[in-house]
Amino acid sequence: MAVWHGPTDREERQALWHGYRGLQDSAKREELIRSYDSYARMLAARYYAQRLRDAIPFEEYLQFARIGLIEAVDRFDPDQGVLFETFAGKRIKGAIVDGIATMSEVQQQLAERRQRMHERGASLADATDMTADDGPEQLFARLADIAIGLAIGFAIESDGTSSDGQAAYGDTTYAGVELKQLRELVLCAVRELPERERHVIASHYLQQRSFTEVARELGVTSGRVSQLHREGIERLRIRMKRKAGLDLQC
Amino acid sequence: MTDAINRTTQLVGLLREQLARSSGGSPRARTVQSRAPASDLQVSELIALEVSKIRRDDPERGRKAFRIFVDRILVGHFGDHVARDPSFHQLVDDVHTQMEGSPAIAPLVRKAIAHLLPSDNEKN
Repeated sequence: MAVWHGPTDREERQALWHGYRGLQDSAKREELIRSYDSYARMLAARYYAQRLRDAIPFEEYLQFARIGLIEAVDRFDPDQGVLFETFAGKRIKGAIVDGIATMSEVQQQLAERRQRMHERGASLADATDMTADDGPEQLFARLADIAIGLAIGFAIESDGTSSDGQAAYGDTTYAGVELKQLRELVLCAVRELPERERHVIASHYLQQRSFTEVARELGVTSGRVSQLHREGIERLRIRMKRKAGLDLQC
Repeated sequence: MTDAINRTTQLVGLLREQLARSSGGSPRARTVQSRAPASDLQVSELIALEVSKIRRDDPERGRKAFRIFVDRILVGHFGDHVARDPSFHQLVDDVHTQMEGSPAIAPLVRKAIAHLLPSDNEKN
């Protein structure tokens, strides 16, 4: 646990503040930030000790505390008669709380994405026609199907519009012409899927919903949604066979 | 769907023949080639050729071999033109990473690598 001992040399620090505020001396600014680093560390340790989850390491708390410290150094006016520690404490706390909240949200989104990826992977790998005794031909054939199915999923997911034309999200990862055409063709094919398969594919890839959420909405089991997903992707895979680039008509 | 699986199975059969031929020779390879559709033959030859180019002491040999398989399968399915898109490599990376990272798929990938690099297993 970091301990804040307070200014070791008040006169020296006053001189630093004077030099920084009066002359805008960047070297003095750096020195000020360094001299208060243990204060930022102490506050980071205090908020880390109050954490509810262990997902975010102490180093992240310290990083946010330092950001708050830098902002405080840049905005502090020593002539106002307020202690820097009092002034900076609020900003450092704000930086930690905001930073951790944003990070938690991002972590939550990443966890949800991992969950969706696992669901679709398990769905595509769940081939009832494959056994442990199957030979390499069946193994490679299944892996080829899975690879193509995953690629189709990534293509749908990276599109900026949903299959019914409404804006989804603006991921432009696959922004080249050929893959853009591929996406358009896949989306055309999605619209032609049987209703339930279309609903599962659109919900999962365009609205980023888990199989569990879709299952709840449809009033079926997650296993049934996984099956509809696999059937939908297989239908799309067959439709897309060497079609891309040859015919852009839907 | 059966047609599609049969087609892929045939392609993979060709691939195995190519791999066997490049690592010592299979007397059946020429016979299989003569019956195969040109496009599938091309895909299997390309995979075999590219896998054979991976250095034997490359620590990433298995991953690279499987990535070649993914790359060629996607090109074979969607058409040669998709490989002209600079983003295609990102798509291949995403698919490859997802397959390696999925608990349901990763064991199959490991089996496939053992088949793609049979000479490595013989040594171990």
